Amino acid sequence: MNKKKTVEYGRYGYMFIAPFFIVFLIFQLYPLLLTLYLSFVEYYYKGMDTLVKGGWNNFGNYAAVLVGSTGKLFDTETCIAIRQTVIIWVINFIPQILLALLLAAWFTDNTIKLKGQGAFKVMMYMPNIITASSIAVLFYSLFAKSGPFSKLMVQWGWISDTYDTMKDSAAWTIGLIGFMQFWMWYGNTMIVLIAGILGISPSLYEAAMVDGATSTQQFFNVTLPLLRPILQYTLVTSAIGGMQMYDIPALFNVSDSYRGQPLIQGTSYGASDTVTMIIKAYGITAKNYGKAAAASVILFMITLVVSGIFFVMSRDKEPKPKHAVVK
Amino acid sequence: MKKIKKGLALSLALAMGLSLCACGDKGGTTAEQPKDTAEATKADTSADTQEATDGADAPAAAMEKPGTDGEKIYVYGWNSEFVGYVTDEFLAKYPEYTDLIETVNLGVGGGSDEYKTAIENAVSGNTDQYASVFGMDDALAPYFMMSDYTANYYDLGITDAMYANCYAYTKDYATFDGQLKGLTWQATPGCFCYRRDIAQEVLGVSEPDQVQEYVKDWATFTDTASKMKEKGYFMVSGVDDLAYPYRDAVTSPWVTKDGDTETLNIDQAIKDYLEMTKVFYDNGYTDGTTQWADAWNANFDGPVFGYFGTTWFTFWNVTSLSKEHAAAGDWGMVAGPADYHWGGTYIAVGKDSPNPELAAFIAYTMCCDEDFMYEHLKNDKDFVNNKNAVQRVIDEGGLKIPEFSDQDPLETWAAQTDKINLKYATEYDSTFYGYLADAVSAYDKDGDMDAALKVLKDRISQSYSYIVIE
Repeated sequence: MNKKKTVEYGRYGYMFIAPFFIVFLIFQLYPLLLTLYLSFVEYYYKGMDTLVKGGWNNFGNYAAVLVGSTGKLFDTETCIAIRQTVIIWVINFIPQILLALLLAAWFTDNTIKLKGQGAFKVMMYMPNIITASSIAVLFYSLFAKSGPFSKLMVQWGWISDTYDTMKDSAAWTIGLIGFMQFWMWYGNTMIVLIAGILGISPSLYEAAMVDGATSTQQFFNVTLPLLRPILQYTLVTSAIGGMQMYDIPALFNVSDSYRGQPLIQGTSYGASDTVTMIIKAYGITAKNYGKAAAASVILFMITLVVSGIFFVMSRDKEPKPKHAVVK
Repeated sequence: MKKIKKGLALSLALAMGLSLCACGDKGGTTAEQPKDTAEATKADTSADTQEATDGADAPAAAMEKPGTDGEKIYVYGWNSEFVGYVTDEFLAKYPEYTDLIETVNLGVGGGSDEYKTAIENAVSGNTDQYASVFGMDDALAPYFMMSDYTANYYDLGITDAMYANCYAYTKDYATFDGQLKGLTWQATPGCFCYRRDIAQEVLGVSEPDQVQEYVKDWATFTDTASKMKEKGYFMVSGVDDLAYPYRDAVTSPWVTKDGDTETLNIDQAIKDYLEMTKVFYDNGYTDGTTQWADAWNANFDGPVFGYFGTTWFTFWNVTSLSKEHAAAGDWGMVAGPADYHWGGTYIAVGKDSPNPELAAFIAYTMCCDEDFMYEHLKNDKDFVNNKNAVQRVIDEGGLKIPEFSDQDPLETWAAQTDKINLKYATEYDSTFYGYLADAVSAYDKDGDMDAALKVLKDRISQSYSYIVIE
């Protein structure tokens, strides 16, 4: 009797959070587990409707992803694509974080008091609003063999013949892809860093100024150390996003059948192939789900390890006070 | 604002270009079927076709019109070409079916993974809009036709007599184990489109009959290329322009099947193609463009002697991309050094269609009905897959293309079409020819055939681990 009278408000709480868990279970956990399962079994289509479904195949999919045709470890499309993805990410991330830091420092500097900050921020964030596909296509037309860039260079007499940045040079290809990524994301990173800097107590800057510290000294001795958690966050999210890079390189490719010059000597895989493009080729084009799943799991492990390393690297050396005292 | 607008216009233009290329690329790049097992049957059917086509003058048997009280069906296509053919021409002739047919234009590349996936879903019952009729790009057609999802036209009431006036290769291509799985209304014979002004300047002749002598086989073609180079012209725009003519020259399939074992086989024509691209690359006979890229498009008015083309290529590419020289009627067309086909759309009927009679009737009307196809050729200049219809247009004076100095391409095409042979197509062709592009660039740069072939083999083994590679 008593029980019936008690109103269990907790129940409603569960109902409110249920939608998240339902969506999570169906669209995230299930695919994740299925991918893991598929990576261990033989599972592919021959043609449109002949499904070849074998049992557990002893890491056969992983071997296919990691061992090349000559038996050499890591001499495969997937491994080369992973290396290229990392290279493109590095090309994009280093200038991105440097420029974002510089801009964030300027925008938050009380002694400069920049005018029209809002307008600048919007303009710098703008590339991030444009869809990646439009940017890729735009750059492709600018730098194509018959594009304005190539034509101008010839007109000014800098080069003798028009140049196909996609077809003639691996360095140009990945350089441009890296630049597009940089250009798209530095605004976003800058906003995050500004938020981080604004979170630093102004009294610290005042104290530094009273002690006669210059702007540079303030930046290196106050801003940077205190910005470390935010930098770490930026680094990790960027690394995760970078490993999954797909849209820009995929669209910047001139065509499906031509994938650019090889970047890594002795291989013949297109310079702009990233891991996710390879996974798509296995899973959707060739419908070899087992192998695609194995490649995805490897990508997942790499992401995990890379994030872990960055996390450990940028952690505070001295132990933090575990919990602030809360009354 | 101006910048944004310009950017927008640029990207839109490029998107258009790319989508075009997506469709053309696939169309061209792919033509396939695994055929070893089907080879015996294929030979049989081609014999049949031959017989049937011998009596091409006789009017073909007609199919009975289905009633208008059947179930509603859905017709899928990847662009407006096929879907528009149904709505604008089929329904114009048979308006009584308007309420029974709904078209779905997916708006993606005909050879794209997106189209493949959408059709797979639509024919395997994953949607309530079952694809009773759908278009298949030449390249991807074997992929669909070899599966059990597509119906056998013979079971639907289409007979050899009805399809008797088709060009033999289109029927061979769509026949598997004696089952006719696809019909097409287009034949797509290849040709070589050249610039008359350049021919006149370099070769001293400009009429097709005379120019054909300079491109009649690959040796002559290469000689002519060197003459072009002396005068500062490129023979073709890029080495990949040579790909399609070589494709149909193969005398063995990409993959030979023995029971469940599939073994990779690299045909001599593929190696010949690699050698040829090397000659063109080393000697600078091309401008080094990639097919469908902007530079390639621009060369229609540039210093390029000619392009390998086909029926649709003439109207969609040559006459639209070439501005100045098309307006001057500077183009000409010859058969060129090779017999080949490029692209085309096949029509399939889904096996579980709720109204198979109507589905088959659509395919019948579009691909077998001589009068209907005659009108289509006359009005749309689409080279139809019906010998009688083509002959009727030729008898009436043919087509005159002003951009080609009023040359009539029909006889060139008709003669070429009879020589096309697709016996060795496999369902892998589209993908493997894509991989071949990588081998071409490796070979042209380094000149090492074994290394180039290894590139090809590596790429194949990475995606298709079950194919045995020796």
